[in-house]
Amino acid sequence: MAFRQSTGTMDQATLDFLTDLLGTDHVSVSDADRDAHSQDESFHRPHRPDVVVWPENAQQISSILKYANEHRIPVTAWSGGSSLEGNPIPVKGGILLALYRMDEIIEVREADRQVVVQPGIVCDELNEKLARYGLFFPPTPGSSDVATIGGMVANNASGMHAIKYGVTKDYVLELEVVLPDGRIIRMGRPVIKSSSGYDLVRLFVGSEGTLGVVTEITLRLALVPERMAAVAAFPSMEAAAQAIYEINRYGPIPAALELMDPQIIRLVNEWRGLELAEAPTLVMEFHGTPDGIAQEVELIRETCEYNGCASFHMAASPAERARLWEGRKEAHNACKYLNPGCSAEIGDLVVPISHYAEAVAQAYRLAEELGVRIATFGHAGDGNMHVEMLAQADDAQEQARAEEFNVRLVLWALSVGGTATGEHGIGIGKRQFMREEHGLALELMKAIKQLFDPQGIMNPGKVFPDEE
Amino acid sequence: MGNGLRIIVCIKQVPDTTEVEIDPQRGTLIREGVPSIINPFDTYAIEEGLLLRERLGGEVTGISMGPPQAEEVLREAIAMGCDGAVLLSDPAFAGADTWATAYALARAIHRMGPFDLILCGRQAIDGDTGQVGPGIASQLDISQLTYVSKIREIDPERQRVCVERLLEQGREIVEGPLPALLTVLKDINLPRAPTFMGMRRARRAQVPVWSASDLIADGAEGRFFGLEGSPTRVIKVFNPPQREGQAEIIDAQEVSKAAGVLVQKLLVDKVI
Repeated sequence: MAFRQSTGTMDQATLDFLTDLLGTDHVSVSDADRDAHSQDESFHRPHRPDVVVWPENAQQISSILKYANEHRIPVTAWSGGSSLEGNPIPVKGGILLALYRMDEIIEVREADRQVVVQPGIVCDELNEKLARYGLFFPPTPGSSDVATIGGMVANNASGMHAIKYGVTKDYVLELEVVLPDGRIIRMGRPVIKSSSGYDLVRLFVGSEGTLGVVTEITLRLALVPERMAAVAAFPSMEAAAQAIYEINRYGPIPAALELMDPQIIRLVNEWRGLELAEAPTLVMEFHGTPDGIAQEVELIRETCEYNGCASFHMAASPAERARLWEGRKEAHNACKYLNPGCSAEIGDLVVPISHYAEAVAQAYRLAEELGVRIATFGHAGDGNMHVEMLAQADDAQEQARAEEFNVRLVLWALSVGGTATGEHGIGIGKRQFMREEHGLALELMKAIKQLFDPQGIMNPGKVFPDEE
Repeated sequence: MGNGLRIIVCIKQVPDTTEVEIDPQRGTLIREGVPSIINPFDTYAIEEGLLLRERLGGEVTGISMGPPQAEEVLREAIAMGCDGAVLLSDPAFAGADTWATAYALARAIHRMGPFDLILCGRQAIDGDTGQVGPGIASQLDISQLTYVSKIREIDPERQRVCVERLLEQGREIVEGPLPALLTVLKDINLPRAPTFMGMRRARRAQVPVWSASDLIADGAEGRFFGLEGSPTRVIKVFNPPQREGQAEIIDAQEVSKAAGVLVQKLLVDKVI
């Protein structure tokens, strides 16, 4: 794609256009603002945009995109910046559309169990607002306290409850989208099912801002169930893996089924001052009616005990459940903050669940072979494994070993029918696997990109591998 | 008293202040079209009542004084898990200040029969006085423990309660007799969201509405209700003068340098 070269400064005519449109306090070229939007939560190198703008509505975004399209200026949408694959880093400079001020709940449709929101609202804040209706948006990622709904839609995010509730794409009913040429279109209908036409909503969910900018989202909601959490510690990874297999195969299927290895437990113990046994640990959650939950917990306790679990603790109240979940929720932060000077690259592969235990074993085999420091945790219930790869930022050799580890592990996952990313998206780091994973289908994706964004202005440098 | 704790939770319906906008001319809140919610501090009182019931048995009853639509927040409390609720609603209660509100609520609680514990939020987010809870305790002549961050122990047999109070100068551990009134802080727990089981129960629950005459029949004095019974007179509502402040922009090329300058300034001013 031929862009006007980013010089790190935006030309005056464009700045005048943006300032006239949005007002001076909604446009910034200051170093601080550009730095603040140059880096997400990933290990990828920061890159500054030339200008940061804070639009307030779809009309303004439409005008910006139209202008940018005419002048071939890269545009990158940014809502929370908590992504883990460099997804909103403006690697080609240009205009950064900061959407987090568009954070309104437009309408709660209680009877239809739907909510209409702007992209900037934070997942936890949305669920706090919905609590009084007894409704919630289930796909909560580990970072739900900072992740925005717009970012979740862009990445097709999910989290611990995917095993029971599915992922973001299963909840998006209707979208308002601004296309690169400035057209504002609506796609989808606010109904649970529809056989009408191509499913453009699903095309946009997970498109990582490469096709257009989502400005309004209608979400389906679920009823808030009764909840119970349980934690089981096992004497070995093999025993935990066998329990996971039996739960997945013979049920009952819990609402969350997470596996943490002893290494990650040691890190979270140190990071949060917890006293969890440094053993392979399953963290589970059960949703439903009180009697139903009681029965599910008993059946799963039986499965865990049969497979030799050393302890099985339960918690019902929100505070106790939060304590049980704390270790799991803090896993990434523990890796990141207990290893200063290290980059903590986080793998996000998914394998068919029958391969889950093998994936953990494979990760440790490879780590040993290559001399890479890792810790694993993840969604054992849906086959999504996270691997933290620690490498000293100034140690090129260790960085290279970590990268080789990552490539080999992902290729192994692809070889058993898995995917390179379960919920973090392709962003920058997973582009290298697109050809391997999608084959000829990648050409169709490119054609779709070309159709929506012929000038290639939307979040350039993402999703697609470098020109081959 | 047997059969667990009898707990009463005081609940106020307030405008959702996160949705409220201020009329720039008058400087007052624009309340039209603003959704009403349970006073957020009261949700901690409800949760604490439910946790105590789960531990020790008994029942949790919500009470509110307000217009008929305040029934909504009581249903929400039932959806969270309260066993029942009572609404005080009568034009005679309108315009009550904190004294008259506490009087009416205290008389209603008296009418509800014996109890062990009254739980309130530390204050309401609309009035921000924090006076109604203590007012109820004083009307009922029971002990009051305010700003409670933790209930350390509660013993229905010995009729004692021991709590931690979070004060500006530190924590205070206090023991007192039951029945008692506690006002609780956000630190005390994490309130649960209503579940569909709770919503089902709340939908069909009967919420009795008590009028001024119900309380008078029980020995209350009507002249202490509402505006008439309120010793407080609002003379004037005004915005406090804008604080004179000075902004200084640290002009450094790099964030790290700017942070360094900021740290030096804060050290000099003994902020850090």
